[in-house]
Amino acid sequence: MIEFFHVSFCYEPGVPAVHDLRFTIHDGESVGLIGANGAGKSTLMQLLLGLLAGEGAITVDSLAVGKKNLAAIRQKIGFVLQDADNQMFMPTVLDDMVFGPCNYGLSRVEAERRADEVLARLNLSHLKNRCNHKLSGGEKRMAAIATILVMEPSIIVMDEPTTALDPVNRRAVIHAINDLPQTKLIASHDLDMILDTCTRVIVLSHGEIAADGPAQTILRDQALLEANRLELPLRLQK
Amino acid sequence: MDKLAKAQHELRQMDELAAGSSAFHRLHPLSKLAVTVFYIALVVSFPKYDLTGLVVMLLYPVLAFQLAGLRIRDCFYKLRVVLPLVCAVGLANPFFDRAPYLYFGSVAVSGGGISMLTLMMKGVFSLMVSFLLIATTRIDVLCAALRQLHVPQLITSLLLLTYRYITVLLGEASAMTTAYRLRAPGQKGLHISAWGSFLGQLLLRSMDRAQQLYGSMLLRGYRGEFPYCAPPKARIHDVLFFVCSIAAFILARAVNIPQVLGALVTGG
Repeated sequence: MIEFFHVSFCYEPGVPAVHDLRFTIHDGESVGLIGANGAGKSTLMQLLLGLLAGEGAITVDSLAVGKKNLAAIRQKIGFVLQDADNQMFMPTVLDDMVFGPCNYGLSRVEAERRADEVLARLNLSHLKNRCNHKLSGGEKRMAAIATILVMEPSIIVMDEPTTALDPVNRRAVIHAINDLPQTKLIASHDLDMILDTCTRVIVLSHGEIAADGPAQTILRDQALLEANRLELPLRLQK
Repeated sequence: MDKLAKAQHELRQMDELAAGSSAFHRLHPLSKLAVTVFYIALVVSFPKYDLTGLVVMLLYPVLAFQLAGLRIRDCFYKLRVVLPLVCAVGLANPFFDRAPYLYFGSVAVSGGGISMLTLMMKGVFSLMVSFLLIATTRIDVLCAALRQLHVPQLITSLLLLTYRYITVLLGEASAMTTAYRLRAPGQKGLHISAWGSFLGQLLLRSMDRAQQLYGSMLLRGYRGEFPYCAPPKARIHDVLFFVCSIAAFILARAVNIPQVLGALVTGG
């Protein structure tokens, strides 16, 4: 469970990037985080991951996000970055996949076994020994998800998981996300994808929560979306 | 492809070469590292006029290149920037050491000429074996071997991160020069007036990108030490490779093999 208690953060004094965020994400929930550029989505995710430290309190499974618990929290949360190139820094997919588990004390053999399992589950076994720089955009995105799943996180946070993907790869990523049983927090401007993958949506505007509710309700509320510089998902537009 | 993209491509090619699976690739990294260091030390220790003795040392890189399935011309191509520098080291010798050292018929060859050739060969051989090591051993495995030799973790991590961040820097620089060229048709290279802002932007962008990468590493449990691939356990052929190579090098250093063979053939 993720809990935000009155969380605020400023990059510059007096200009809050996020302000007084209060919400709870329960186990197994799939939550979409939407908002215009600069609304505070990335800041919120970085606060959750302990990459930024702000005011208020954030807890993950009752552990307060802070220096003391960072290792434990990061083991619980898998973060899929927007740019897969920034996520994949080892020479091959396998090397990247074993990086996390080995850091958490698993032997190379055990980490490879886990990697094999995850690759098979995502139908990516053919990518195992491929060089990262030779993967296509879609393959890279799926491999980036695999590098996170291999750590067996209980929460998955994704930043724009479908950007720059062609329709087929986008669909593959959506299927992969829907197959994940973990708690999910997905930040995206792709509202159709949010509609397909999330049961709940949080709308951020100027660093504050403008709306929080069922995806089917919020994503059909044209007035609310437009007031927050968003649009109805394409498939709901007449 | 611009020069920067080409450099990036070549770095990746090195990664691909190192990921090969030849018998030489599969040798224990520590034995390859030790043999390489020993080879370079011995090659450098040859006397400056011992050209014939030194020639024999070429056998190791040539044989190893064959075993590893590497092309020697790739090595020279990739080392094209350094090779002229290495070769230039001894260029002044013929001017300082003009005394005749040997005669080909009536043609005298000065000691400086011989020592120049020797110096060049030492440099080229050392570069060849260094290339061989890097092209057959992945950087993380090499770092693992260094850690086994108790090289401080700070140094191995720096080595690994530098290697990784070079590609980040090159990638950013390549994207920026492409963007510049597209809006400055007909210009050759960057105009001097753009150098300052270009370098500044490059630094900022690389730092941003590096920060993202570092964040990704932190989120996957990185705590200052890379979980290096555990090097495989040394097997009998790793030990054999190490012992035989070292013995052969010592023999080549101690005995001038071409001279001995020549004496046998001529009965001298």
